[in-house]
Amino acid sequence: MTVSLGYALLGAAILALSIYPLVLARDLLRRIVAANAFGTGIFLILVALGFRGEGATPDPTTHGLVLTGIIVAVSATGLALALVARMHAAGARLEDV
Amino acid sequence: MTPLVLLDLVLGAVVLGLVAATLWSGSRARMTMLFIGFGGVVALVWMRLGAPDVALAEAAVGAALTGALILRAQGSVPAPLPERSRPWIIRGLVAGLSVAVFGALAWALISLDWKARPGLERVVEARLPESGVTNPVTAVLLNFRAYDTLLEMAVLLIATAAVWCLGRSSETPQLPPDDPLNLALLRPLVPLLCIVAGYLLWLGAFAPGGAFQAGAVLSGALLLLLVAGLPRAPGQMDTLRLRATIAAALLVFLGVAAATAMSEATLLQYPPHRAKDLILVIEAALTLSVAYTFLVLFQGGRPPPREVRA
Amino acid sequence: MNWAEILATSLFAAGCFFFVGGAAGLLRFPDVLTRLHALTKADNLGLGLIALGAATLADNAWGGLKVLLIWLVVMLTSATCGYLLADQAHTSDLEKPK
Repeated sequence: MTVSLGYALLGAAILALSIYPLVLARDLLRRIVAANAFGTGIFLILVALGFRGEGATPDPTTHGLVLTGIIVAVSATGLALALVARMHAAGARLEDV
Repeated sequence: MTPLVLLDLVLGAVVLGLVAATLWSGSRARMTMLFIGFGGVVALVWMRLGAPDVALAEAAVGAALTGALILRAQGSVPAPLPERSRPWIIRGLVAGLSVAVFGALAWALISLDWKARPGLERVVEARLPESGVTNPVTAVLLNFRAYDTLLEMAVLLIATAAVWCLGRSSETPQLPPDDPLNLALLRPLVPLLCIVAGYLLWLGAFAPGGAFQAGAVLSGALLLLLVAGLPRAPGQMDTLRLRATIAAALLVFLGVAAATAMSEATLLQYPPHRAKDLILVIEAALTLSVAYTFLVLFQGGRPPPREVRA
Repeated sequence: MNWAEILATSLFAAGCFFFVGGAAGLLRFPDVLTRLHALTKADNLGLGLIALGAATLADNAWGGLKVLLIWLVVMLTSATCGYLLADQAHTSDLEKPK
């Protein structure tokens, strides 16, 4: 269905867009935000794969995967933020990363 | 053009615009605010794609909680000074990588046979009566794929342990304890949030909702208590009770897994007449652990032990 | 369309009008306090009208009441946030009112 394909392509676009700041941004917080956007792009592809049209039951396994993914992504983000704070406290020059 | 197609086009354009604006925004504060807005619009997309459980989790966790975490970190990590930009060849290579990834994914997605996608919704629907719940997503997460959720709880615990290993939590900006807002806002809101969390937990069996969404709402209440400067708010001291609450979900899950492995000889195979009770017990522990894990992640480090505070 | 849908659509349109006004105020007003004023209008009135519209489309009375409860909670939190932001801006002299 074109709706599913459209949203899956949107997910691919978000994913691809976030690669650039993920690799090249100087601000580490911006990289973390880009990593979250990357994850959201993947989730969009997954849920679009499970969509079966208006009114039809969608595939619940894709929803379960994405739900798990959201929770894991936030804990990874929390850990990454703690790492960045620790690096800053230890005096690392964040621009060199 | 049907209204639904118009909605899809507008949603897609807004989401794409928000991603670009977030990632290329000038200031850090703007980036964080736009990111929270991006999460909210993505929740709308989930609703459009028939995923209300995911929409609830995205709005509560993906947008609000992640935004709060980033806001908190903004305070402790200053933005780097703008230096000379990277050589254009590197920038060109990464941009090329970006385009190549999009091209490969788009080619793969377009050449997929979208009419005849294999899917598990029929299988899940057929076995739903034995799962003990009627919400298919809860059945998948807590029964059919319970092993994945068990490992997810282990991941949360590892993240907490890693954050605690990295250092002490810095001082959370707090209101003075006698601020009148504490009475005006917290007195109606915190009990309401606890009730809503319990409601979502119970609802997850037969309607969109569940343990993770309930845990996110409960973590909202805990964060409010922390920021309000109340001296006995949870999470301010490293106590055994805090550690036990965070580990509770994994322990309960492991207990159920061991019990089913011994009695049914298959790991996490719930007997159908007990499935509903087991799921409810596991979900209750999940809610508590998830809420306190989010609180700990917000603090960003280990709180001081009990002796220092006294 | 029956009367409920017509009523709901007009309420949604009115709510959107206030949200657009709030966004315009956020972008165009000169300092923090006036911008907060515009935002809280969007939050209270705009969301209230949209919540009323959604309540008329609800399945039963309880569903409608739940939607209105959402509006009440948002009003409570947005009023508090408005107060906190204004207090911070005021004490840190972020921008003098122009």
